[in-house]
Amino acid sequence: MKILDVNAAAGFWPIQRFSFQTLEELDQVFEASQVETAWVSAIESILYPDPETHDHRLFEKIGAFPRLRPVKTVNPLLANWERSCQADLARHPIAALKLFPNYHGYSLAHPEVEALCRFAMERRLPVVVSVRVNDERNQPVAMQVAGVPVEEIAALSLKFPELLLMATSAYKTELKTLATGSENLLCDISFVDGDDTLALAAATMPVDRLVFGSHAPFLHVASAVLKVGGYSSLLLSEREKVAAGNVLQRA
Amino acid sequence: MKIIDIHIHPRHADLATASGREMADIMTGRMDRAGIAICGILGTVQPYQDAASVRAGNDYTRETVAAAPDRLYGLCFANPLLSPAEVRDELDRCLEQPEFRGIKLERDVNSRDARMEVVMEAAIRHNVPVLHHSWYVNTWTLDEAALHSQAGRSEPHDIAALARRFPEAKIVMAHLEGCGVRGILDVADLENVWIDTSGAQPFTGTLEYAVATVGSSRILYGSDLFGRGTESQLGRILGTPLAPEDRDNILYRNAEALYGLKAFDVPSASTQPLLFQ
Repeated sequence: MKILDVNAAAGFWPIQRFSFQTLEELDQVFEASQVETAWVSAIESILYPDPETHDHRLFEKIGAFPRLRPVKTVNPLLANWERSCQADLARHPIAALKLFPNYHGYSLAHPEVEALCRFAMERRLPVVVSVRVNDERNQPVAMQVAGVPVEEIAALSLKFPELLLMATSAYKTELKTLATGSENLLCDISFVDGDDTLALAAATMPVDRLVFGSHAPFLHVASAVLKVGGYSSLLLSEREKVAAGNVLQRA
Repeated sequence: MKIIDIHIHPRHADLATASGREMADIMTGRMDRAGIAICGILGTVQPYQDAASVRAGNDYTRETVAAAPDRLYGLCFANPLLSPAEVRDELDRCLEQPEFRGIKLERDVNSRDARMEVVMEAAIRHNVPVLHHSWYVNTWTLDEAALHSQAGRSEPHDIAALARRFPEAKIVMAHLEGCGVRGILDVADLENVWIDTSGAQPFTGTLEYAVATVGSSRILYGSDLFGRGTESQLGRILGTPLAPEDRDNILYRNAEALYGLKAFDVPSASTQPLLFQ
């Protein structure tokens, strides 16, 4: 089964010691898990004020790993976001633009988000919205960050129905709202949990709109791989869509 | 690879309609697909149940286990808010039956509460482990009604206090990921406390920290099925770089020893479990 992971990252996160940290280790885990392609963003770009700084460190190294494709973290509140995107797209095989609205402090209804969506659509680039990085219950007292309201993601997708938009790290309870979005709003399975996970997710969100995301290295790649494996009661053809087909068909 | 899951509940969607035998079929069906040899059923654990409800829930667990006695064992659910006589009688009633191999406590009272005494005395008298809910919650996202159900909850430091108060008792602190690094440190020097691996999404790093801090001999695989998935929770173990001996301790050896499961006659799987296909 071909697996494309739309939700991976590499780098350092001060409140979690990962099982695998470097690009080399990440690549080895993906190889062992038979993940063919993974879209990787820089973890430090979530917190550092200018994402470009750590993105560039990632982009310089990631070319050595053909399995890994770079993802650019964008903060649309920054004055240089468009110029930075243009420059990086010209130099690197960027797979997607990734947003962290809850960490960067804006609503998806912000005018600059709309400008970014138009920018991405013109270039047929997917936009990934990270709903959360970790479980809110276990966040440190000094760093509590609520998840991105999924209503905003659904609304954004309806405003730009041609845009390939992905919501990553949403809980299974949030899929119902995300399902009201456009046909091009896809959701990853990284935070969806429950027995027979894919069938559980497909009961709420059409299987054509579910995609493989591991949220590595925060979460184990093995867990996401087992979700699309033979334990699932979904048909092999449906599992293949989730594993890679739904993204490849649209990208 | 042998796997024992010490932390599962009946599938909620089927509880109202399925008999214990039918629930056993549901459970063993999922276990066969995943290659799980044995599961420990914790029963229905809603807080503030009256004596009749507790008794009915334990009867359901017994009926479920009796339908597949080589694959399932049960924990007797206790509500320490009930009178000491009611708690003692129910624990004795259950633990004298072969289907039960432990006690389950959720969040009716904090584990420092004096009313825990009758439960712990029964655990020591019957020589069975107590599996206790535990979590460090820093951010509450629950509404008021849901918060009310958490009033008697216990955090890992409460579990540690319980373990010190009853050093002869064997205690399993549930939810490794919810307990986190602080919780692991709370019980690190308490040899009568084990930790199960359930809780939250399969975050990386926590299990290695637990193995390095308390040792693999005090960690047990638990999924919290059916609220959580075997896929995510077993992936947490299989995805963690562990020495084979540590992995086997966590996946089945510790459970065999703690719950006395070595004599279980588990049929060997004839095919590779679907989980890995």
